[in-house]
Amino acid sequence: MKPFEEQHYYEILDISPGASPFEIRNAYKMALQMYGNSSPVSYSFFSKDERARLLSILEKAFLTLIDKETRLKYDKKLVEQGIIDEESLYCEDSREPIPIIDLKRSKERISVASIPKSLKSEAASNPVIREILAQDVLTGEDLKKMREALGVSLENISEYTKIRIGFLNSIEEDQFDDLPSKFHLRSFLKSYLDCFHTDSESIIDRYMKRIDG
Amino acid sequence: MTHIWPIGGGKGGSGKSFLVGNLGVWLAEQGKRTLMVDVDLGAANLHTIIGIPYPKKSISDFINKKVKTLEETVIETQTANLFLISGAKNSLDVANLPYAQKLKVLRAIKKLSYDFILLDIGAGTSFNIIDFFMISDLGVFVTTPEPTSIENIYRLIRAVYFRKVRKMIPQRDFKKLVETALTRYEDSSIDYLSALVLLMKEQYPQKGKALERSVQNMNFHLVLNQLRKKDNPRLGMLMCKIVNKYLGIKVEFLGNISYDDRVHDAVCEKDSFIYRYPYTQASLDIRNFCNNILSISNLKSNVRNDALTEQRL
Ligand SMILES: Nc1ncnc2c1ncn2[C@@H]1O[C@H](COP(=O)(O)OP(=O)(O)OP(=O)(O)O)[C@@H](O)[C@H]1O
Ligand SMILES: [Mg+2]
Repeated sequence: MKPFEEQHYYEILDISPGASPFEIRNAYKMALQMYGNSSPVSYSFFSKDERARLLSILEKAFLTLIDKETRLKYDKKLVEQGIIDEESLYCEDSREPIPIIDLKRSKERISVASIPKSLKSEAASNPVIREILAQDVLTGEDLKKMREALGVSLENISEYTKIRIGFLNSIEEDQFDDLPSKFHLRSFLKSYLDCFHTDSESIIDRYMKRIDG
Repeated sequence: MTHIWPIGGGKGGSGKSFLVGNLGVWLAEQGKRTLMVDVDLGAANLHTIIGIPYPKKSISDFINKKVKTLEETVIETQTANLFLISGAKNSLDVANLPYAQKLKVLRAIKKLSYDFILLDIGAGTSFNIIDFFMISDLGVFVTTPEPTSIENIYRLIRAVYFRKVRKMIPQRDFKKLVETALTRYEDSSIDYLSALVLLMKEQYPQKGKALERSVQNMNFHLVLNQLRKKDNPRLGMLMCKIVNKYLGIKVEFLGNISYDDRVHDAVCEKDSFIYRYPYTQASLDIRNFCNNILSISNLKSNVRNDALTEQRL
């Protein structure tokens, strides 16, 4: 219930002071979905003027936190004012991405083809995934649940497939408009699914049902 | 224990009656004695949705004292365990339900004994409507993805909250509070309602605490109905987020219900959609919604039972 002028940048973006740049980007994207000028979520909640002010604060928050140096400065200020704890701050080393698999990560990038078959067979027997795959129509949320059931992070899929994480995120959030074309969507979906499932085609068809009608 | 679920949403046509009808049938099939009450005082039509074109009795009979108890206006439906109190036949009967009458209806509803009582609340954000939401600490708001519908949901949530604040303080003090709030927070981005709450906490700490508790106890939920392919599926979740962040009210998102042309067919044939078209996305969504309602209610009974056991020990 804090007025937005009184919220610090982490509060306004609904993230913790320990958020990674990835989380900051996501939070900003979500915030735009909520407060952006074409968003029906906040259209009748705030006045036009309030929304404009909120948007400009959000932008400032994002730009400040996404840049290493300005973030450091900003964090320092918050710590000095006793608003946040030094210990809760983000520090890069502690946040190594968790590898998909237990292989020691070599300098060379592991190609999609060499993701161990164990992941796919695990997918085949995983009860959460089996339940989801019983549906005729699949949503981005379903894909996300399957991926998470296998403990695979989106960052990892992005690393393996070389698809920008923003696109993968859009796929999981059903934000089709964010993708360059339907063709891209299909091909991204295929790379994404090939990471952990043997029958990507049938899943793609069921996902695309909602777009193809 | 009787669970009373008011189901409403500021705007007409969002699907309140449709959902009440389907939820009622579903709960009854789970063996729950369920009563649906059409309290849409202006334009009752729940009876049509569940296939009873000419109900013999209605809530008007109770309001007009034709019968003594509300229970006497209950009619059976084709589904075992499912009962209905049909809405007023004639809107003139109840168009401007006087306060005392409304209280009488509210009290009578609270006294009924069923497993579930579902209230189909009409469109609008008037006092009459808000009071039906105050009857229980459970509740469902139904919205569509359209900005007009969303706008009315916010209005309704604010109105319910406002009513809670209003009820805590005597008229004269309340006026003063409003005046102070208006001048003090004139240039702040904080909205009028939040300003009132802040001020109340400051000037009447005891009452402020009581309000906080009562707001925390509210178990409101949101359903987004008639979601089409192009709509943002996160809309409802984001609505809850904004309400929570800027009004301090927890409204939990219960999920989307897809738009399906066949809903229209089911309504026209006065048939229950989830049984006529079970294998559609919309039906899956509705069953999901029904399951959620049931588990939330069960959870509540458990908490209550625990508390009772503790008292006895
Ligand atoms: N998921 C859905 N898909 C398609 N159509 C729907 C859906 N839900 C409701 N409808 C349509 O919307 C119409 C209005 O629904 P309903 O009568 O339940 O709304 P209501 O909120 O009770 O309106 P009122 O406030 O006027 O009582 C229904 O006749 C139905 O055809
Ligand atoms: Mg209705």
